[in-house]
Amino acid sequence: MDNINTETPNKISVGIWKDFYTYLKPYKASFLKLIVLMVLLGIMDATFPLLSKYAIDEFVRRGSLDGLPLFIGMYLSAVLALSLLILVFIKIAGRLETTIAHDIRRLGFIQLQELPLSYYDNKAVGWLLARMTSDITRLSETISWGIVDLAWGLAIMTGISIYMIILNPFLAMITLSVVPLLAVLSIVFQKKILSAQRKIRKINSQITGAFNEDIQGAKTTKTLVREEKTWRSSLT
Amino acid sequence: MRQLKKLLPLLSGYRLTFILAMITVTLSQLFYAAGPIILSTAIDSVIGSEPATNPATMRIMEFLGGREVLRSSLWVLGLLIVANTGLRGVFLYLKGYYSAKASENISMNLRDRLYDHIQKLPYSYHVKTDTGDLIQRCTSDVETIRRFLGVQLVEVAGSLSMLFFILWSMLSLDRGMTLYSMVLVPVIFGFAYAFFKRIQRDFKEADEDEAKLSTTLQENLTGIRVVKAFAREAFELEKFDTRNLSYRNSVNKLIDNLAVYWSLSDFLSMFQVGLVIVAGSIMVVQGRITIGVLVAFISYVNMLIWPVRQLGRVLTDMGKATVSIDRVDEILSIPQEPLVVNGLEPEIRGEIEFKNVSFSYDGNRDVLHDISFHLKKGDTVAIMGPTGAGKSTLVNLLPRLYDYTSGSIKVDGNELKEIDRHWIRKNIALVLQEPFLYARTIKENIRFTDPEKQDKSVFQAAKVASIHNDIISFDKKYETMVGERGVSLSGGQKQRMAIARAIIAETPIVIFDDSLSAVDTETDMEIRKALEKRKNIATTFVISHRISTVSNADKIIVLDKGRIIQSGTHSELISQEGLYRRIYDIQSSVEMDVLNA
Repeated sequence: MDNINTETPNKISVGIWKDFYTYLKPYKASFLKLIVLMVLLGIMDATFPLLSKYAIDEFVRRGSLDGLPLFIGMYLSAVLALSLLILVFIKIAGRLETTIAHDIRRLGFIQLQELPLSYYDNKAVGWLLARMTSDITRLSETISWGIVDLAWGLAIMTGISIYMIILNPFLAMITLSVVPLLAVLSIVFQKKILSAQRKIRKINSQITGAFNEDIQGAKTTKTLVREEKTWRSSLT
Repeated sequence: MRQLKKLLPLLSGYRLTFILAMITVTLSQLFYAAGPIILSTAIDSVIGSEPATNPATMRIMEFLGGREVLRSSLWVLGLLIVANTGLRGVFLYLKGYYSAKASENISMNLRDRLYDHIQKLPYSYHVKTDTGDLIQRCTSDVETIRRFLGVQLVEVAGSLSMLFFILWSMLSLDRGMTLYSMVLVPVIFGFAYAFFKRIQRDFKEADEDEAKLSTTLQENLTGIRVVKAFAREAFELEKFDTRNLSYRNSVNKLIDNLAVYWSLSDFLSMFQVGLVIVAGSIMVVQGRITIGVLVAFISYVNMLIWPVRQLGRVLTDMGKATVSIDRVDEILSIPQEPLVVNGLEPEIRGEIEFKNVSFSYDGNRDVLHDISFHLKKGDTVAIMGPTGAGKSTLVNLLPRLYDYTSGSIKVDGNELKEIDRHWIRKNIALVLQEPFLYARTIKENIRFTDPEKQDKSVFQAAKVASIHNDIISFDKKYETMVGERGVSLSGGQKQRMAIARAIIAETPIVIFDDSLSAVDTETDMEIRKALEKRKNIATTFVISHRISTVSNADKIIVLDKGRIIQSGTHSELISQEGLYRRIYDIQSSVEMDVLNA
């Protein structure tokens, strides 16, 4: 009971990231491939506005269509490269997610088999079930897609910033002036979101626990004629 | 569509909130679509010298002081863009607020409805259904539906309204360019629809594999003590590995398909952007459109690309949601057991008569044949027989957990089928073979049927069930938590707790369905002695394999293959050849061996 209701801190500790790395370690090669792919994708994404700029500068402003076939060839090559990168990226990221989830579930299951019986004395099956199912899914999503999204976001932001500075440093500085404000806002909201997320995960475990208990006890409930009892009363 | 229609009743009570979410997302898209118009007007008609052609743009320019004023005060346009973005932000916030409110409430209602429905499903449903699968449907599937309603459905509405506004804006700028900008959009949507129709089966497979994994896990965790007692960890791990691998493989299959979809849809989307750039450049060079219009079209087509790229995610969630809706609906469409159907509510005293009763679970093969016997109020009847003889089935007919298929059962002269289910169950205390204790204190568990019962009654019932001494040995005594989150009780202690819960109910009929099997012979004797004192208070059914447990019964019924093969008192049955005598001989010789050992 105490373990179920234990308050969790509202900040991400370094330890958590170390744990992430433990799960990721066997797939370091795949993960590195993924990061490289992500950086390439970020660069590709940031390149497309440059292609638009090239068309406006070279054809529209000069009023000439010379070099248009070359541009079409370049553009199609970029689109093809982007599509292939996406294909490979999703396959690797997806497999990384399912494999890590599979591994964590397996490790969790082995651990559960090895724990002393006293561990189960104050742990509801539903609570453990929520940890082993939805929480692991979230964890593997974070490890694979979450980190990948972070890499992609950083790559695209870096690529766009570099392109902007090359094009016009003054305008680039004006555009980037909002970044510190966004960073502060992100930190403020991250704390709030983290706190809310943890509460949600806790309530989710309690709901699973309540359902597990009441579904398991449904036969007894029927014989005791207590069907009308609301399931919220099972939530502690 | 069929599945989406099933969602409509769930929206009940929150339709207005949902509509507000749709309206606010539409308004946010309106302001989003206005951005490129401001930009193209700034390039062409404020910085450039092209006349503004759009009447709305002309009016706004005049309102802001006209071209010359705006040209000398470009910050006004900047402010206009900031205001436009700010308003979009406000509506996006409102969209988030309303969609979250609606979807959270809808999922809460759905969980309540599922819980209520599951509790009211027939006993037979619970006997044959996997707990893990049901939990999966009530939690993970409901969460999928919530996410779809709260995020994706509103996003779809947002994307459609954006498509409409962009199309409208594009048409107001240039029809030819609009055609180039939209030519591949129907192809992308058609491709997405066809693709997701084809992989719907993969979603179902992944969801079912997840449910099987949950069931395996749930069964293992529930029976962890047995697993450890019999050192079955390796076997359990092998079973879990198979399910875990199967789930991983089915999700991988799904991901491979999605990877193909996403890369192809991105190819088509970016191809569409390229088409606009090339066609637009040619048209500007030919003097058919202005640079500002080209910039606006490039912005619009890029704005369209995001929802199209997101379409994959929307359709993925839609695919998952339709599977989840079906899985939840499968439960909700099972008819509930009619508990109160204006049946009879007679005073139950405990006189029972079975007359030629037969019963079949599937309507084809009878598991009980032609059962007849009569019991007076306060009689104790014991039922014996090998596994699968129909003992539990027979006693389950009394509380109407199942209804007999032919013959007649009369309780105090009233046909059982005419008595209200709820009413008869309130008058029968049934102690199941595998007792279930709720995650509450011992006291709350014992007085579960009537929380108003006094402590004195609780203690008395516990004493009759020979569990009182065990309880007072716990630190918190009757306030000790049991069930999943409390102290672990032995099988015998659980059975005695369940017996106490039955005794306190003071019903005129009590059924012990092999509920002394985990109790040692000595405690069994103590309980029987205590129950003997209550003789004549309640008509009692005792299912047991122990001769010592049944020997004092007023009537002993021996069942085999669903038929009564012997009946009578203990002394009558041991004096005749038959199954009862054989069991008696075996158990007596074992007892003698134990005594001599």
